[in-house]
Amino acid sequence: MAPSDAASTTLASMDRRHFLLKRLHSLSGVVPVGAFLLEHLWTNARAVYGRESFNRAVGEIQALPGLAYIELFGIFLPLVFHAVYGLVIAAQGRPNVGSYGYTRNWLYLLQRVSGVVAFAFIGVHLWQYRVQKLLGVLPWEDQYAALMTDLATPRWFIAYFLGVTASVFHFANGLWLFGNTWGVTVSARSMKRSGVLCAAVGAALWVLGVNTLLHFSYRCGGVVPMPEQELVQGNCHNPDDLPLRNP
Amino acid sequence: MGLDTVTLKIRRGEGPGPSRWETFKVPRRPMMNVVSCLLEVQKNPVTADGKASTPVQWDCSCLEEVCGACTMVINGRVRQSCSALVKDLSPEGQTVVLEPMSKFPRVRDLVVDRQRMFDALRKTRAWVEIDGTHQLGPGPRVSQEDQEVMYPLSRCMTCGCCVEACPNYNDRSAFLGPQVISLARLYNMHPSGSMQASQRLDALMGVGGIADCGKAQNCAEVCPKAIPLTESIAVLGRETLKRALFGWLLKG
Ligand code: HEM
Ligand code: SF4
Ligand code: SF4
Ligand code: FES
Repeated sequence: MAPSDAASTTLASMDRRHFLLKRLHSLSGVVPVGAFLLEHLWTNARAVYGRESFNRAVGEIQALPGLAYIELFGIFLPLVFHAVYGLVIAAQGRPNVGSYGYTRNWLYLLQRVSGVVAFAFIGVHLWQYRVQKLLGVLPWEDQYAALMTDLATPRWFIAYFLGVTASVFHFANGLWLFGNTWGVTVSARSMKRSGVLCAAVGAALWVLGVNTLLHFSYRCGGVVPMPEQELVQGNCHNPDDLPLRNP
Repeated sequence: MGLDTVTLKIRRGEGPGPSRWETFKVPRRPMMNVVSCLLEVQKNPVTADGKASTPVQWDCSCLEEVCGACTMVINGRVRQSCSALVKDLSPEGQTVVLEPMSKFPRVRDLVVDRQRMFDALRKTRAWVEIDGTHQLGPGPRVSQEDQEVMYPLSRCMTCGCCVEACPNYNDRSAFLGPQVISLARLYNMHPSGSMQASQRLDALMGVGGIADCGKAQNCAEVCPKAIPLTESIAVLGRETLKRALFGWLLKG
């Protein structure tokens, strides 16, 4: 064995930071970022039961002690880490579905595309609601009305539809990747089964998220009709009914 | 229509210099493979439009898909040219497109330098160490069960198909590729090789190691030896994790 070999092996054995950083990226996609996605879609889905129900659900969260710290350290910073490092990882790959059009190779490409779409979407989404609240343009309670007006426009509906679809796909395929990365699914058979399971989780989440969007958009004469019983009071076409922005 | 010839379109060039496409028409014979087409070009290096050219350079050795030397990109897909039959590639006289592998530096025409793969073998000590030339007696026995896992892994010929098809193995990343990960698994299972098991795991935890796989799984799809590369990556993903988390407890 040449001395240079020994040196390079010792050097390699010292450096586990790269490995740990990658595993941290993988973990952060599931907890806390993925867990937050679940919670967020679940809470928003309460809108289907009406304005009060939605506001109560949001109110419960806003009453959590130390919410600002949870949001900053538990959600925002992990998301920024995952997203920025995700962009770095994506930039290091050279997708080649043209030559090798296998399913997993497409999913590899879509994982990166959906990550970038989710990144743009989350940026716009935060600006549109969170930053506007911080700036005092939107009220802290009762965002229901603002959501209705925005999602009634085909432009925003399409943007949210794409954003939710990309985020949910990214999370569901990410769960599959997570299981494989962490050595849970090792055999070809378990990888296949996990694929079916993750697709089911993704489909359920997608229906949950898109249903909420349809609800908001329909109340304001949006794209796809909802069941008749949803058509009760509160129509955002009448701006006197619902204060949209702070005066 | 014209089934007395085979049309070859070949990407040619020297080293990192510019590439050019040249088309050759060679006499078609039964049971031809890509290597025998290239032998015809060598005999008569004149392009399809009648210009005198130079013989196309390529590598080959075993001619039975066990050495991996003749690997190239054929009709956009990486494979061995010795086992690529003209009757399958061009049943109705379709042009056969030949390119060198894109993930390695080109030497000339279809010949590339696969040094990066051999460097990866060295980094991961993907071999069994011998500690002397004296008689060591018979080696330890390997269980039937382990043999069944190890034999398929041992068929790797370092041909480069897997890394050519891997989206994460490229000039922007230091990824060592699926082949050495699978070989590290093989030698970690080997009774003598397992003495360096932790060193191999450590090497795979560095930059370019196992964590740089993006799970596109092209590698296992294109491997001519049907080596379960994705399974090896998952198994060593588990082993490296155990070592990263608990290695210091169990004696780093
Ligand atoms: C909606 C919020 C997000 C969630 C819930 C999420 C979740 C996940 C999960 C669970 C994984 C699998 C980790 C693994 O490989 O084991 C993952 C991977 C990945 N994420 Fe995200 N992510 C989100 C946002 C983003 C953003 C904004 C980007 C930026 C482009 C991004 C880029 C990536 C990339 C490139 C991978 C693949 C990593 C690899 O294959 O090595 N993600 N994500
Ligand atoms: S793993 Fe398969 S494709 Fe990769 S070098 Fe070995 S034989 Fe070739
Ligand atoms: S599974 Fe990993 S090693 Fe195999 S082709 Fe995909 S990224 Fe490359
Ligand atoms: S010449 Fe050995 S594999 Fe083709």
